[in-house]
Amino acid sequence: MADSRIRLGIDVGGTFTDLVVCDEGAGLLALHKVPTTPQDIAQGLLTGLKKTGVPAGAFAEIAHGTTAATNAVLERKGARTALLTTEGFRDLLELRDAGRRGLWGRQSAFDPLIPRHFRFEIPERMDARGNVVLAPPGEALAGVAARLEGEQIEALAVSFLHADRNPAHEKQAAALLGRSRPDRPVVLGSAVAPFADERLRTATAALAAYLSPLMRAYVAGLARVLTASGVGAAFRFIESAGGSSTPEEIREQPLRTILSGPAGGAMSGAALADLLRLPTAVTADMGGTSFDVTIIEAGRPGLTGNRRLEFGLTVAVPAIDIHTAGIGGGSLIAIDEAVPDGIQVGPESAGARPGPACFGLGGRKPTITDAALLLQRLVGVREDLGLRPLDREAAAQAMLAEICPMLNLEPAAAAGVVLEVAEARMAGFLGTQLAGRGVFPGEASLIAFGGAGPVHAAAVARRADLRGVVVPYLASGLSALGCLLAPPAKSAMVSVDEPLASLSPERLAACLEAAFPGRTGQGRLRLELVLHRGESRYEDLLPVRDLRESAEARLRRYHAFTERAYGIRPSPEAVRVARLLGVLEEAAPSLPLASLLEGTFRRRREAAALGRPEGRPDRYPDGAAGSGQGVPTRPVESLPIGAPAVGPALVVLPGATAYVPPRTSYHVDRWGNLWMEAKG
Amino acid sequence: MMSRRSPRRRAVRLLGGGSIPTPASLTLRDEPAAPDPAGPRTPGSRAPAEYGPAKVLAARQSLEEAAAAMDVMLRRGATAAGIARYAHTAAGFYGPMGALVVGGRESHPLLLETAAEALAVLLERRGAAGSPFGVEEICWTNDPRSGAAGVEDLILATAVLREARLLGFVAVSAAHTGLGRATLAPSAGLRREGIILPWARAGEGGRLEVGLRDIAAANAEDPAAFLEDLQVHLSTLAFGLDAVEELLDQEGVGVLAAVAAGGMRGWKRALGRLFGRPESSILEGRLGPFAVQIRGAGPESPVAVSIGTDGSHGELTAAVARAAVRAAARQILAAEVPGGAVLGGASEALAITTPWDAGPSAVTTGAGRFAEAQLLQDAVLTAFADELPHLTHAPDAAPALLDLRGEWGDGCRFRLRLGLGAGAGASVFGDGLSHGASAFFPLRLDAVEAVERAAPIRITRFQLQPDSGGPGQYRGGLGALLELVLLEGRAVADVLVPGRPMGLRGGLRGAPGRLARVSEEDGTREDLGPAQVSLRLKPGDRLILASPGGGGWGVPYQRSIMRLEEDLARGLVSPTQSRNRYGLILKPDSLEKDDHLTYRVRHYLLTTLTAEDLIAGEQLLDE
Repeated sequence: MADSRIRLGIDVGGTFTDLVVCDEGAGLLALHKVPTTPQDIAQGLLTGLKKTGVPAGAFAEIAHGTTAATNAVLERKGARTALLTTEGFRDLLELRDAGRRGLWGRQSAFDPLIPRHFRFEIPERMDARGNVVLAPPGEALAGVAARLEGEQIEALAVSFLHADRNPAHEKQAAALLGRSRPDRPVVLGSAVAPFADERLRTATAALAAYLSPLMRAYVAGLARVLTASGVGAAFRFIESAGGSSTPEEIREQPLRTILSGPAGGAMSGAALADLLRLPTAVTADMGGTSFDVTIIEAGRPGLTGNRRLEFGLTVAVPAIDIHTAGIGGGSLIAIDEAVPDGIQVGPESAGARPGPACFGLGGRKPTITDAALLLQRLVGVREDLGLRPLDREAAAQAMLAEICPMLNLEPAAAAGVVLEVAEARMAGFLGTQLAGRGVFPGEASLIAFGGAGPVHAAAVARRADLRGVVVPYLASGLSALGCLLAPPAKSAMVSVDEPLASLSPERLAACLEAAFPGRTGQGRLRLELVLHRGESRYEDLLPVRDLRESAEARLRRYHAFTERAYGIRPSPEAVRVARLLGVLEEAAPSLPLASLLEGTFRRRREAAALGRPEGRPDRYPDGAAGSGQGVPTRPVESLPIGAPAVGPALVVLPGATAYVPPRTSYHVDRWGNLWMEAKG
Repeated sequence: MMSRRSPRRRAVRLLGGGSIPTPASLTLRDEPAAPDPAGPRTPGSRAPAEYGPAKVLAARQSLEEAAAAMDVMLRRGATAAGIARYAHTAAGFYGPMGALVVGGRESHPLLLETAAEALAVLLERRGAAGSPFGVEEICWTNDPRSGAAGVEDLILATAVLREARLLGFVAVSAAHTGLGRATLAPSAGLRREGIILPWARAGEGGRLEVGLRDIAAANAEDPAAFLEDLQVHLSTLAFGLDAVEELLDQEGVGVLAAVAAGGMRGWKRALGRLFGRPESSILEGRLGPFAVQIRGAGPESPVAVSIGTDGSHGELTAAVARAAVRAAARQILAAEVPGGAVLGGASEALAITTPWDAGPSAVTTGAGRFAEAQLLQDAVLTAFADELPHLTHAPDAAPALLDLRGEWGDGCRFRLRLGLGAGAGASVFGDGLSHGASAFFPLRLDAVEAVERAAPIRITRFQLQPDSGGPGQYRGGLGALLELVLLEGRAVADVLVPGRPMGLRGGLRGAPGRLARVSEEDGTREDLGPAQVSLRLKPGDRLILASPGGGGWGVPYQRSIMRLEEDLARGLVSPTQSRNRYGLILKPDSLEKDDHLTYRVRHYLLTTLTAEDLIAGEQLLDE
């Protein structure tokens, strides 16, 4: 429907798939949740589409975060891929950086994406300046071409030494080997990661080739399923850098979707921080399986150039700087028997199936959600979400079976121990990320979302000494909303290799032009400088906020960062700009977020005032699972805007519950955001 | 003030302030670090017993996260290669007796535990001198006679004080490879020029005394970078001090002792369970010069670990030996109980006697601390192999180390320190990891391109070393091969090429490290084998360096044929080794196996040889 203004954002999480329907005509947002179907994502999407109640043909646009690429890596279900390297270096993928799986214990073997017998060496060489030392003989390439055919190779990566300085040999090899099978993807290291570090370049090229056929098939398959269902909407994928891409772009550059799942939440968090004029914020997206933290400064999330997918596999992909801890609502709780009262929370999760014990889907092991329910931090009856009532008794039984004997405590008391540990871990993790970015906790507000984030937000903020807490109205659908907020964008990384102290605006402009040829004036830029300091193998990131900023001013900003993060002012000679990392947002986000949120919240409040909250019960009994006692329960729509109140309280949001601890003041704003103070 | 540089800084409220006397009757080891019951109590403070599990666990979690953050801060903030590139760092919270309470998850195990040893020495000396600790006083040492792991390993500590009571320490430790101008080579001459700092008051109010600081810096390879890194140490200490102060504010002064007491109980309980069965009450392990005997004495008593040596050890001190044993125990426990990886209490649960207890060993600079500590740690692991195979693994091979310094053709100097990862030991759960840097050797090879752009060398080969993994039912991880040529100028290479690790439970040893030099002038090849040598290189000279493979686990003839075929297809095992070591016979001139012959050979060997023959290993197989 060409004139439709209904858009749909979809976030496929480990436990739930969230769908946010945005009806710009009506000025409304609506959230829907369906269980994730890991075996068949498309099927889950269709179920979700039906649940929205919107005719399939009515959508103008669908934006989607996909885990298909990430899952293919984890399950090693990518293409049959070969790798061409410089002679003597075919094991780069397997040698990694000599890191270990962990500091302790057994170190089991590593399984590279491309097995050794599909890694071919070519006698060629460039020197460190990019001068030709040995040209690749045609017969060697021809021999490999024959092998590729014989082995039925579906995709090819080419990565030669010093190709960042001179990619001629890579291009020569690609031209020859691509000639025989034009349909077979050929990925060059110098194209996907044009800077020094052959390990990163080779891994990135290998992964891009490995995913390419699969993502082509995924995009085509999804289009087929949606078309068959009557969906004619334009489809976009959210990228890991927070932009969005067309299916055609994803077919060509599948790496853009790697680990893109949490990017939607970060984009929403940034938009909210901007709307609420929070100079520094930290988003905590806690769903069923993970706790994702992003630091937002001046309304923008930071970027990073490297992403670690798993042990031994780090690739160069521009991405929002998101840090993940394996702790979520579904995280399993286990006893650590070596330690008195020792408890381990996560990283294993109960996932979508069987889920926490209280979901009543067969789970027998206790999770954080079970503990929260037992402590009356969750509303147990959420028929509005299509969920069956949470089973408090099952949660107690799980706790009794697994945890209580060790602690010698009743289930509720044991649940208290579990949450103390879990929240201490979250707060510590959050504090570590803030320290790493040189941010004082007292300056940062916590934007907590995801299904479980609002439950723990106040306690975590208090422990981490943060400024305050904001729980967005659509907390459990923020990642899906973020898919709609992600503008069409291009991302790039280019080599700079210049001292920070001498990086002039002109030189920066030249690098920018190299990153986005002919397009630098055509959108909003998010840029970071990747810095190398002294002999450190770590990289610092410095956002570029003004292209005209002088080198001296930029150095002063960097010193401000290092003083806060490390307590030092490094000598200017020791700091080099290694790379420029950028995202070019080709269009501003077209979603009028403020008016949509305000309109939605107003409409809900009006409905609540009439005693008919849409799809929600008239009232929630106090306490969990209708126990009728304990923590007062308040739908957020029933709270007067701006009027302060004091906890304890359970504030019911669409799809989530926020827990306000005792003696904590809170209020709601006109957009439906719940504000809590961090100090109780 | 150092404290102002902490990102999480708020005003530290020191309730009492000022200097305090250190209790003269401190027991340094083997006693729980409980607070003095008669000591003054702040309002709201509680004794350890009054802390419920929720408080203790949450406090431990907070400290663990803070220690992890300190480690990150130390590594990321550092400028000099020793820390920033090779990551020998540790950060932790220690009790009032110097015992570790909680350490960082990525802390270097030897540095973490030796800091505990060193703090015990500090307390002993301060107690004997009646010398109090001041507010935000900084103490430091890198003296092996004070418990430090080596001259390069600088420990900085500050006391946690409340109302005239010493509640514990925050300590950070890092390897400054340029301190004392140390090298990886047997450069005794250079080492003698180095600086050794016995435990000393290095500053107060969070600042270092300028004179002391400058003396130390003058003895570092790069004084400016060293000074900058010292500042990062101070910031990190401040961060940790701030974290523990916050915790004390929230939970009362007894919380640190409560966490420490929990750790001690946990370690004793866990070790007691390991030694609960009569047949496993005495374990023995032997490796290289070390013989280790481990005896359990009941669930409430410390496990006794006794180390013997044939005297051929070079650089171990009692403190490093104890730290290595505790690191091994930590590794064994962490296989089942992750909490054991960071939690203190090991020094109370293990009563360790070493041949060096009576006094310092002859050589106390600690130059070979990592190599020998690794060997001792592996000796402890071998003691567990028969009784508790699922908790251990065959020894990891030690990486090869290359310290290359010289001049370009135009006289500009360069220096590179490279670590070539080695094979990890296999275990009952599978093959070992190839090309890894073991916990005691975090030194790693930079990107080849970075190396070639920083020095006049060309790396012509960097690949896995087939056949280097110790044969076994589960194969040891493979070592790596590095081949480089000096293009211009001149260079001196100090190289440490480790020997081969043993296999376990019938598994065979990994291949040893190798070193060879090929001269461009006359084409001669000089094979130097596993050694610690210093070589001069001329333009065109080629250096070939191979790191050893990890030890194998289990009898090689029991390795699955499917895995062997995969190894052959991938070129990780040669046809020769597959025949000689695994009994897999291939058809002539092919990679296709001869089913009949393979079955007969494997069956014959398995049914004919006794377990002892198989375990006796390689010599027999060679025949």
